[in-house]
Amino acid sequence: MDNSGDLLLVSQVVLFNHKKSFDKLVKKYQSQIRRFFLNLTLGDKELSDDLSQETFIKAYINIASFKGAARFSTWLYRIAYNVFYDHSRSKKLSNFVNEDLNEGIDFNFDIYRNLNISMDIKEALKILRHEERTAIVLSYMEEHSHKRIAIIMKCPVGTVKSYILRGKEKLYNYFKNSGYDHAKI
Amino acid sequence: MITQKFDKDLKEYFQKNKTEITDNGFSERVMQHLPVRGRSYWIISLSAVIGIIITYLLKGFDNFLTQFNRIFNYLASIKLPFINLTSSIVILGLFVLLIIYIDYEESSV
Repeated sequence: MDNSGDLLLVSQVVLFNHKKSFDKLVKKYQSQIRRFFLNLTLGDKELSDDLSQETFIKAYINIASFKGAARFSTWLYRIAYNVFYDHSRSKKLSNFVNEDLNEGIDFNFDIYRNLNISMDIKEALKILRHEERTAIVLSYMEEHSHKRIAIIMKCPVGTVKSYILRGKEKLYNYFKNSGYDHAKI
Repeated sequence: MITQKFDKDLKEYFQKNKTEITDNGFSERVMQHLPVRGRSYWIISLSAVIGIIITYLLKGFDNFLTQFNRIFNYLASIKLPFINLTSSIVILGLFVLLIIYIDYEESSV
């Protein structure tokens, strides 16, 4: 289903409160959004599902504000990023002294094992700041353009590029220090 | 120093670890937690009914048909000798291409 298909479903939700249309949107994007959170939370499945659920509920409540200027998926990722950012901020406040916004999250190693994701990717993502991690995941895993990432993260394209560059440098050093030949990562 | 090869390898690495997550009742849970909403449908219906009644009372339909008839007659009487069929098709084609381009630009975001 392309963007025009999404727009049709959105208009059915806005005009007729057609819940089945929204259900189709949830089914279509649940995997992407849950995977996005799973990577940002470094494998905390329970937290990822909670944040994903919050994202879809917020999308439903505010669906009338979606104007169709960007793709529906971009708009949904934007909400997801805001949800994660708010969560990280509240986590930071509760942890009080943490520099890294994701410290304090209970990492669940088994989740990654169950999903057949290698342990290294969690470890690799762990060394990144949350902005760098978001930009890297959106670019390299979800294959979004820099322009779309800039909309999702609400920052200039140049800033996105610098997040990605810094993230890549850290990953390069991480893989190098871990004894990997980068041909084998 | 980050090489192009590392960039390519990194992309492959992330793609290799990209997993499809099965629904397992997630969508159902979301749908169960959606807040009650539906006022907008009634507001739209109510506004439409009120609009039709007001238009009828103010004889708006008659005015609309009269004006529409006038516009149609005016357009039918216009003669544009400098625009032939070929140039009309070319202009229409350019217009369609412009719309497709704008649509593509928006959807590529």
